[in-house]
Amino acid sequence: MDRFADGDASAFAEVFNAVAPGLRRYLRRLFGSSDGVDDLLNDVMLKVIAQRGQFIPGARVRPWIFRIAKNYFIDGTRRGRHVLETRGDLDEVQGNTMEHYTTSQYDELCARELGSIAQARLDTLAPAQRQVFELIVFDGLTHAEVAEFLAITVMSVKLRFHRARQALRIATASGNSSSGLDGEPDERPSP
Amino acid sequence: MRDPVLDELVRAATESTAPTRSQVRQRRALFVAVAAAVSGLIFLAMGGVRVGARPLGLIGSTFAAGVVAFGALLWSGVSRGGSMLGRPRKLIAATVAASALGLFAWKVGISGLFDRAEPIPGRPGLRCLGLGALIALAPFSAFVQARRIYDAADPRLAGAGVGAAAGAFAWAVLDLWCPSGDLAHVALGHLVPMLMWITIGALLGMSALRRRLS
Repeated sequence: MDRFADGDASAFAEVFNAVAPGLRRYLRRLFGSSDGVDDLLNDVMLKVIAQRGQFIPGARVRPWIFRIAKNYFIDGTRRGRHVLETRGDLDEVQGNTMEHYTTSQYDELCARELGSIAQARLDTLAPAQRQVFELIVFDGLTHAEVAEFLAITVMSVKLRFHRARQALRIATASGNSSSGLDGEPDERPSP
Repeated sequence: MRDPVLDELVRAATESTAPTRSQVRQRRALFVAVAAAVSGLIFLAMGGVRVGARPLGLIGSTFAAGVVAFGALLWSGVSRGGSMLGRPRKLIAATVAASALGLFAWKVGISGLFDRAEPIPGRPGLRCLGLGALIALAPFSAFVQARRIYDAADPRLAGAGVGAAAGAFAWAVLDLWCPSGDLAHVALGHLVPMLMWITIGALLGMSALRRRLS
């Protein structure tokens, strides 16, 4: 980002590749839909391009870009406050037996069901804990980046994340299913 | 697999005419220079430094306090430090409050020590109020441009910080001109302009916030 801010246009691709995966997930959650996320991503990164001259040498990039995304959302282009809804709709498969599905359809069905379970677990978290948890686990931000983005201390981030994980473990244990969400924040979940 | 959005953005980045960092720095320096020149001209038109019967120690100490407060507010309220999202909110709020109250207490207290705290007939503070408001105008504009309060996480607080910095600048300049250390005069003529610019900055930030939420 420093090189791009100083005028090296070829450095932009590196910036994009570093932030796009997590930013996409964040935008999807923010706007409550997968529809049009690429357009939103495009709009946010265009703002980054326009503001490149403002970038402070050595500053963290992701909290800044996530803040641009959040302000963009607040500035009137939000699509509603819906929590990410899983696209799982098992009604359409009622009455069908398993041998009617291809492997990819079956995998998608399992993924949707798992997504529903994960969503239900996340719904049990307090909003502040959930926000920290999602930024770390889903969007790949570090503790320091989350602290900067949310304007809280790193200690607060660690505490909220710890409590979120504890709450999820309890919810998972009571639901008798594994969430598979262990690991420290620097151990990024494998794609 | 190449990201479908990337190609278009790379093209936009290559063709972008958005200013680079060095260009932004040059613009900021120009803004600040113009602001300083405008404030300087206003100050000279007022008559410049007026020592009169005031001891140099009094002028020096009150001016120095203004400079220190201005420096602290530049650091906390205008500069973003190492983060694009600015300094911690509590730090900005504390610096703004401490500067305004500290300057007031220091000016009145030091004037009392130098036996210059008696009211001066015909100087209730209205001229200082007007001049304080005027001298801070150009720096305020330059600081708003530099800080980009509209992009801040808390635009109201960012605006208040910028306003306070402009107000402290005006305070320091006024101290070189104004002979009065009377409590009522300092409150009306020196503290009120600073509070006014803090309020204007916060309102500017609030308007940005209101646009966001509407």
